Amino acid sequence: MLINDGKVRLLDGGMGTMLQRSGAVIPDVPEVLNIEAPEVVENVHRQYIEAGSDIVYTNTFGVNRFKTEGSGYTVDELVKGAVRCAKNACGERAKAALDIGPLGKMLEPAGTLSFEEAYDAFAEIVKSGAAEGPELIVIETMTDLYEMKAAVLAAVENSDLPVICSMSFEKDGRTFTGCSIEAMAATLEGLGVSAVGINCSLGPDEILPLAKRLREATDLPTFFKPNAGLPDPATGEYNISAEEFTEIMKSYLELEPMFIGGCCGTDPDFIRGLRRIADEDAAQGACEKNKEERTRPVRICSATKVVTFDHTVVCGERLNPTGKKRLKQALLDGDMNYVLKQAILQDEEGAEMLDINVGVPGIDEVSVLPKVVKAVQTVTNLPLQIDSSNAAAVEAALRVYNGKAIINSVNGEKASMEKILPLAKKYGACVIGLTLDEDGIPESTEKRIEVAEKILDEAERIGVPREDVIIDCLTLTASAQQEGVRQTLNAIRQVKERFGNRTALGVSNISFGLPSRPLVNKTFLVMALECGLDMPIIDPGNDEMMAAVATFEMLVARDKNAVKYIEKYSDYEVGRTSSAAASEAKSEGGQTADEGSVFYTIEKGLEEETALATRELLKEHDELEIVNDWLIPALDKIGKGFETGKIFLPQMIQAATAAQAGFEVIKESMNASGGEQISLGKVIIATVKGDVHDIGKNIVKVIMENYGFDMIDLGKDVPPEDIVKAMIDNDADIVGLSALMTTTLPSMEETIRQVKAVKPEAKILAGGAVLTEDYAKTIGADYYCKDAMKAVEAAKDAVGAAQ
Amino acid sequence: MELKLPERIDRERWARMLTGGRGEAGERETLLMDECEKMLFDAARPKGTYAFSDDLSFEGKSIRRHLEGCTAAVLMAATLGRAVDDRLMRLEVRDLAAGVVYDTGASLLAEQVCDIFEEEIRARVEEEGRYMTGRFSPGYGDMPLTQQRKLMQALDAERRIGLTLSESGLMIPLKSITAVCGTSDRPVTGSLATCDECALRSECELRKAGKTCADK
Repeated sequence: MLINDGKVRLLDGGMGTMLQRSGAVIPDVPEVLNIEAPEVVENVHRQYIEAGSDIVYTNTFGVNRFKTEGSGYTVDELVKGAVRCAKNACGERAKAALDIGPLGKMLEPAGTLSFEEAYDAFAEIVKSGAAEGPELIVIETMTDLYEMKAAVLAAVENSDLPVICSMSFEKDGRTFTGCSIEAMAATLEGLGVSAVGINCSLGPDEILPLAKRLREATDLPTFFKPNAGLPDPATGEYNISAEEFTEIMKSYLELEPMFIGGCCGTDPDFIRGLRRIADEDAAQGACEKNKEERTRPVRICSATKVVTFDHTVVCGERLNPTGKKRLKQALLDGDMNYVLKQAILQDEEGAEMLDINVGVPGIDEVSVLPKVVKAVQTVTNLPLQIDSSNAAAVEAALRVYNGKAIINSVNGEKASMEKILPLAKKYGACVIGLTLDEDGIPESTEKRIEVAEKILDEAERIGVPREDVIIDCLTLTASAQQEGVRQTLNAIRQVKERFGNRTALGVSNISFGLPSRPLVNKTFLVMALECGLDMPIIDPGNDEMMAAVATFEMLVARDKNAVKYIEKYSDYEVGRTSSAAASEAKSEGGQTADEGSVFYTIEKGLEEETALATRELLKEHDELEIVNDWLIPALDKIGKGFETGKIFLPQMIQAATAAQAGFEVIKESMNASGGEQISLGKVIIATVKGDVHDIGKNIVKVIMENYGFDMIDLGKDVPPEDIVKAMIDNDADIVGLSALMTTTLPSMEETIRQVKAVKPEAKILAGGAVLTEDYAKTIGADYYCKDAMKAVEAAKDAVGAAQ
Repeated sequence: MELKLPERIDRERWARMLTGGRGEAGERETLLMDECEKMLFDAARPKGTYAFSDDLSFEGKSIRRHLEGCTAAVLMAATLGRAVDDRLMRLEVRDLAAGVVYDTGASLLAEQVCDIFEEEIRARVEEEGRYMTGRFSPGYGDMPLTQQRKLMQALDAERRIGLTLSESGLMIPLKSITAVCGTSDRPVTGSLATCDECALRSECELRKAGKTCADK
């Protein structure tokens, strides 16, 4: 264990420059010295220990399966060699920290390295290192919270050592990937690390304000390891001397860090300076340091957005398929685009977090829930609530969630608490506690409070901070249990009074079975807010509900000077619903009959209007007629305009998107009448492995969909095996592949080879900026598609050939 | 180091890219460009790093000819940052047409940021009484894309500006540029790659139209 007696301990300084100064020949992979010249590495450690370091970092910063490949040594050899060097130098005088740095590859979704691959790469280092007996593990210089999380999980799951973590920030308090200091603190606190810190990137002057922010953001011990100032851009020389560094570092002692040290450009002189001020500080004693009591805020976060429960936090409910046919279908079809659009819309409508639930019969939640969580966090930075009754699915989703999530939910049943609370503890999540148990939902307020208390006590016993449990007193249906409404409200009030915990509530259940449900919902919402509801789970697309929340915030003076209220509701017309407003806005435009036609709305790229116009047509025509006489001809007209250069790509895409809204109406109508769907054939479409340029493929997908193809979109960076599998599972004969870079064409070639090996008669459509007709033929594609219209032609031809 | 953004994204070039060089942007494209420009300036956090190097051994005839007469090189890397990629992923789902306009604008913005950066470096080189060629990037002419790795390692670009290279050789964040400029005591201009060694010569639309990529 690490000793935290209030005295600051010293880390070491930079390794790279010290190795260079040693005069030894530095190999391309400097860590090779751990094996070929251990005395050089040991000597650097020794110099730091003599200067006053209590802990030295092993020479493993750049050791991982990606960076040291081709060095002639395995990760295992390099890591073990490094720990031995550090242990030899330390003896009894200092401790060795197994040092882990970034992998050098960007993780998904921006990059191509998966979370699981990153975890494996870190686990390899941890296992090798731990075998040689270092006293702790340090994970440092990270800029991606997701990569940090993979490393921390690898460290705690593969060793018993204490883990300390530091990330590198820019002056604005964010890392290169946008992670904020507060998000780092909130996430790492929950993962069970022993200390959090900031290192590298900046000098002590620039880091000081960030260090103060970190101190504010966490109760964990902190540590700081700044560079020797800022480097000259051209020469790389740092601009601060050991004396200056020491002087500035004095201010850090007021923050009572657990450790301090130096990073790039610092050497034993810097550590000697730190030793001096640390000893002076210890001599002064800890007596004048007064600890003030702080109430720990309740926070959740993604990597780039922190939400603190100090106001009403609206949780978007629309990604829960209960009672939502369209979402159910999308989840069953694997139509991620629909799911993601719902996430983005709720974000735009003002939700501060989103509930994610994929509970549909026939869906394997354990594999689908983490997949949806991964996908949703690529398009929004709202924190997520993982909603499932399947503990294995909850764990799989929490693992790949980038930040601090909420689990929905645990209840007072013994089995539930035993399964769910340890997950909240391990992954540092908040958890919704439902006030029901083996005996069902208690009728009385008092009983519900008892259940709440039972959950809080059990959470505390297991090590989940008591305040991280958000109590849900459960909404009963007013039409069935009218007296129960009062009990729910009383229970909320008592939870706030007796425990001070935050509360959540799914609101709309209240009105089930009653007419004019919005009236009931809104009135109940306001009553609950007044009783102390912190987190209503509602549809943020409902303006009236959102307005009620905003008005409440203003009236209880959390929205100071009514700034937000006035900004948002200055032009609000009370009593008007958003759909009424939308249709009115249209008629204000002086719409003529002609302008309402599908031809017009598609050409102008108007989505809602195209849907309206299609509905109009349905009154007099059948679905097939509308598709063949209106929608397709309208698209053809646009397509011709594009080919002749009268219409450009953005307009063509807008038209295609508008037409999609029309096809969506047709689909609904056919579903309702139980008619057959129109499909020209199934097409698997993907951007090949190694490539993340997805936009070209997405354009082709939308346009082919319009022309009646059933598109199965596998996304970007898709391995050949997945494409083959999807082709077989869906019994598809056409595969569309996209690659944008010369470096990813070989990946396209390999995919074609694998597809043809399994299904020689499959037709391949290939496209992408650097692809040529000749090259496409050379690598075995059946059709070269210069653009989306060519892809439609090719697919039609392929269908004809197959029949 | 933090890099400067230009005042605006070059509208003329942007429109040309969107219309395939075929015409002027219409009202709709202009509206989208306005919107996307705002989003791009909001998301971009341009960063760059450069270093002097005596090593002039790069792969490719065209880069070697570019560096003829030079005694040293400036290596440079610049990126618009991760948030630009994040926004694009979201736009592709939310509004694909805007996504296309944004994507093109982002590439152009990266070029323009690099232009400004290059001029800053040039000013520093010229202060020392030396001369510098224009910048030359891997993938241009016959200089292989794989040379990116060499440049990024020499620049320590991962640590300095958060630029990474994937297994398949993609720079991530996507809107990033690496380049080499030659320097000398005597005036040098460098020479552009010619179509002869260009990897794309057989299918280049510009070449078919009798133009080269030097005609901006």
